[in-house]
Amino acid sequence: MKIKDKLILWSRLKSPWLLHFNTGACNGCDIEIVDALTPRYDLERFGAILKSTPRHADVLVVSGPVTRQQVKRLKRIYDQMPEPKFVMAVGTCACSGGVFDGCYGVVSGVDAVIPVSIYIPGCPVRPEAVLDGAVKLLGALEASSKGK
Amino acid sequence: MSEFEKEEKIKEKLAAEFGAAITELTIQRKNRVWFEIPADRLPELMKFMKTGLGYDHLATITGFDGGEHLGAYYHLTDTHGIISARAKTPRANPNLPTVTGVFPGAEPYERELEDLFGIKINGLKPGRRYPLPDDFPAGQHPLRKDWKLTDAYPEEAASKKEAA
Repeated sequence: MKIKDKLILWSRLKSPWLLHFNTGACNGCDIEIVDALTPRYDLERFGAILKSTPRHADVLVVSGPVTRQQVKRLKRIYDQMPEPKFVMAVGTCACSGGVFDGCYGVVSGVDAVIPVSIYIPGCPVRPEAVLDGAVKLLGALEASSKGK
Repeated sequence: MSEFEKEEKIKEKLAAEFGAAITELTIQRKNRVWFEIPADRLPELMKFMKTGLGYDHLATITGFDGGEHLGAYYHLTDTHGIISARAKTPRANPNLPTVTGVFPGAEPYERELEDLFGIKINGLKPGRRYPLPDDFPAGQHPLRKDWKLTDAYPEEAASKKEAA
């Protein structure tokens, strides 16, 4: 691995910037995501920071089942993120549609619209689960770059 | 029936104003009255409820699918009681008059009736659809009992069946 690539990988692993997007959640998971970012759980110790624009974000944190009205918006936000990008589906609804699957206003889980990197189940998710998911995502990213 | 004194008084007043148009009036319990009225007299009824009876708050409108008939319940409240007026309309040509002339806040409820039940609201001012998504197929009304997801999105339901 070249020194340049090493540097890029290091910076990628140490600063996964997040963009939080609600595709129709009840707000339970959104509160837990915010909870995970507070000093008590402190997701920010891994270098994560909540950004307000997709152009600065590495990880798209999606909560809620994808409603038909949000499909276009979700795709657009995903397209605006720079490569490499990762999607974290937070909560049962984002993973599979949950109880809303099959409803007239809902498509399904996030993976029906965009590729998902990691699924975090729970209704709502525990902040620890969000942390665990984030760490596993970073671990997988590190492991996948080892062979190169 | 001294227990339902207030409710009986409401019944009398309604009978005096609308006569035989009020049918199936039931006093379910204290402060809870139900009745049916022909759809074309709805605006008149709303006006009377608001000014004559003091039931000046239209809490919500709930649509229903009763097989041959579609319709709606108009739930009116004052500080103590709830009066629910039911209006039916034939399924073949469902339409109800608007009550926004009396209760301007009824507009979103009436749009819901139009979108989810396909009941045409006569006199409702034009506006964008609510609450279904903008690209939802026209002529599909998900809260009707005979509606299925396959009616609106056949390809989506097919792919789900394959997965299962």
